[in-house]
Amino acid sequence: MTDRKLLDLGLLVTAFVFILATVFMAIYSVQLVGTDVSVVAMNPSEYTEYELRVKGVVADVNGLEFGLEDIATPTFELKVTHTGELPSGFGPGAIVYVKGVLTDTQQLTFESTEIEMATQGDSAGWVAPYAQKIFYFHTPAAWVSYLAFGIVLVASVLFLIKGSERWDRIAKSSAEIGVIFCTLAIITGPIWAKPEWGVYWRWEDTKLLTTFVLWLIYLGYVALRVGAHGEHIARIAAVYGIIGFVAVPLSFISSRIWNSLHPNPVGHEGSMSAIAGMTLLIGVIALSLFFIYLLKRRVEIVKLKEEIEDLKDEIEGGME
Amino acid sequence: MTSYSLALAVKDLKVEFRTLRMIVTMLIFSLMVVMAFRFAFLFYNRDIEPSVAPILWVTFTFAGMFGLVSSFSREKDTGSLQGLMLCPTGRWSIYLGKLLSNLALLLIVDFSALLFFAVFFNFDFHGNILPLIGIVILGTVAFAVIGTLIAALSVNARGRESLLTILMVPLIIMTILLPSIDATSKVLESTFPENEIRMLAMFSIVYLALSYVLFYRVMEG
Amino acid sequence: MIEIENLVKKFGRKRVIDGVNLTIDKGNFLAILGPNGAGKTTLLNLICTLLRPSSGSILVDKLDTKEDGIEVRRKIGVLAHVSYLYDDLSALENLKFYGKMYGIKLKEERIKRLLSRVKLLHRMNDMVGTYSRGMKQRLSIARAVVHDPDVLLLDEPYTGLDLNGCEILNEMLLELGKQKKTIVMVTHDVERGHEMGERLAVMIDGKMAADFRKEDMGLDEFKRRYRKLLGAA
Repeated sequence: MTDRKLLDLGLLVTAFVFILATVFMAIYSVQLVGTDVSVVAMNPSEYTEYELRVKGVVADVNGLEFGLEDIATPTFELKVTHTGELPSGFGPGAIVYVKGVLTDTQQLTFESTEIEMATQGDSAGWVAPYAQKIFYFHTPAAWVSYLAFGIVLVASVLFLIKGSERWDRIAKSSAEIGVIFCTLAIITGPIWAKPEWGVYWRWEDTKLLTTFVLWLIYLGYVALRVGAHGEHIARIAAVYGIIGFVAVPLSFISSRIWNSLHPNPVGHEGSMSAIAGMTLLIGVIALSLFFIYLLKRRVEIVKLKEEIEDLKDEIEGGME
Repeated sequence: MTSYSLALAVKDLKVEFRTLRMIVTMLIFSLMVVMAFRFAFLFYNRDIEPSVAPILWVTFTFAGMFGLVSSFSREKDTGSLQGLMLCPTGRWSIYLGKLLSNLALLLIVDFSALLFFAVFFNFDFHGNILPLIGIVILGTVAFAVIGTLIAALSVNARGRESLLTILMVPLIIMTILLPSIDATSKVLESTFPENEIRMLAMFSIVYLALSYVLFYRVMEG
Repeated sequence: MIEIENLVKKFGRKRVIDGVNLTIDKGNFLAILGPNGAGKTTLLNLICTLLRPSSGSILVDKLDTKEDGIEVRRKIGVLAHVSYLYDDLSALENLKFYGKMYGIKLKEERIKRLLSRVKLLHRMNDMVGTYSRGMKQRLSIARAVVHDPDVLLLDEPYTGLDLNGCEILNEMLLELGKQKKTIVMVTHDVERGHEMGERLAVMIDGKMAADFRKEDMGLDEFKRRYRKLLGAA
């Protein structure tokens, strides 16, 4: 018994060490460098002079042409002329961003331009470099919630096959904690999205939509189980947990394949600097460990609660 | 197997048309939803066309969920659901029987809602009415397939009326509602919604397969 | 024949059926008596496959209820205090519907014979919703035997029946006994149980507490022993 407690404590401490490491690295290192493009000015009628920052991948060194994959409205092609020294390491495939002042709203040409290489440790590549730091918790939280819902699926299947209450307790606990992590991901997302994209939420993004629908489904799962206990409700919940996890990812995949919902717009995945990747990895490990710790404790609590309910039933039965 | 399902569906529909308990409520409900939209759009001067598909499917969805609740709950309350469970049929036959009767009710309500919409919005479907009916049938089949399973699932839980909505809406948003709305919009623009049809067909099959594997688990005990 | 071996049914941690062993021979009439909450109804629900055993097994004519649920249900008729009838169908339609669900083509003649047996022929086209409690219970007797089952399970069958109804039920049960049907009746009514059963089992707290043959004892003796068993528990 004490061994197990020690193990739990060890798990918790390790999780917190990793979380601290993530915080430290997020503050002192880093930023994500993506191939995605952000345009500050969204509405042409509102500006006559506007600072514009665009990021993209260099396609051609001589003409300094930008290989922009996708720019939010208004779409335009970008050609940059540059005088002076080119940054070192400049060449095809380099990620650069361009800063300039926009004078003509119709033509969208630049008056003065600077070209800078996006380098590690340089946070200027993002429209909102500080808000971006939240990313190192947002992505791990989302990942942990997928993990949690995946565990609900596996535990539900095993419960239906084997009928062991242990699997049911794991499914139930994992769903509850998964909803909490998913809520965290859904809250932290807009905090970063608003300064970066200019909007809190993009309904047309299948990834956001899928995460949101998963959240709704497991919220329903939790609602189904609130205050209800017994073998039958466990079986019903297991069935729902399975349907939910099969249907949602399937709709995500198929909508991407057939492109029938909406195209995936500027996503937040892209190439990442090594150190940013490392930070993200440590963040994922940190929250995963924390999740495992919470899951273990929650399963124990659920078990104790069930025992209390059973004892109550016995006492009431005895009073009859 | 099919004869059991058919007998069950015929019995359900016979009881329904004799008492008119659910169908009338569902029809009035769908009429009310269409009327609510009508008044909401009363001073909306722009083109109504882009809103047609969402209005239709919101109406179908809520009137449909309203009706699904009672597909198992009435038998559960009178105890005759246990009588059905005692019959020497596979649980699957009972699911199929319920699916058939639910589908019949849902289609009646959907087509009536379509009519209400055409009348109150003074909307002309032009030559697109046949493909539109096809899409409505396809979407309703998918809806009934998962709806029957969820109705069986929620009937044994507390607060089943609200629970059905809570469990149903997130499941159908991406898998049925969005493709149906997209398909309807495309059909109204006279284009063929190939991907949406594929998606609806796929989810009808996926949900049917899930029901096959899981329905008897729901009915145990 | 019904063979029950080491049967356990748990609800949560509670063992509602706690290791029951029981063999009921073909054509036997077993009355199971016991106080409320002894697990009698649960036992019947396990036999008719409405519930799955937590462990142990039930064989009905050598068929396992866990694996051959459909075949087992075909052999069993159940009469419970819930009628299983549809209020918005007539008596005739109810029986026809259940006949179809049991996969048998019922001749109108057989339905009418059943209906006249339970004295409802004159009202066979009326909706069951208009029936009195006793009439419904009588109709559900007909419903329980509509598929000519080998095994009849009765759960407090006398509830809601008037004197006349009780007589009809008793007559029918005797008749079924003669046809070598296996009958299991669950009741807390000691006199009824003793009157009808050939074999009297007492169930307390999910266990079989006693198993008597009626030939061995009269009603008074049985009542005395039954009370003693309850007192001991």
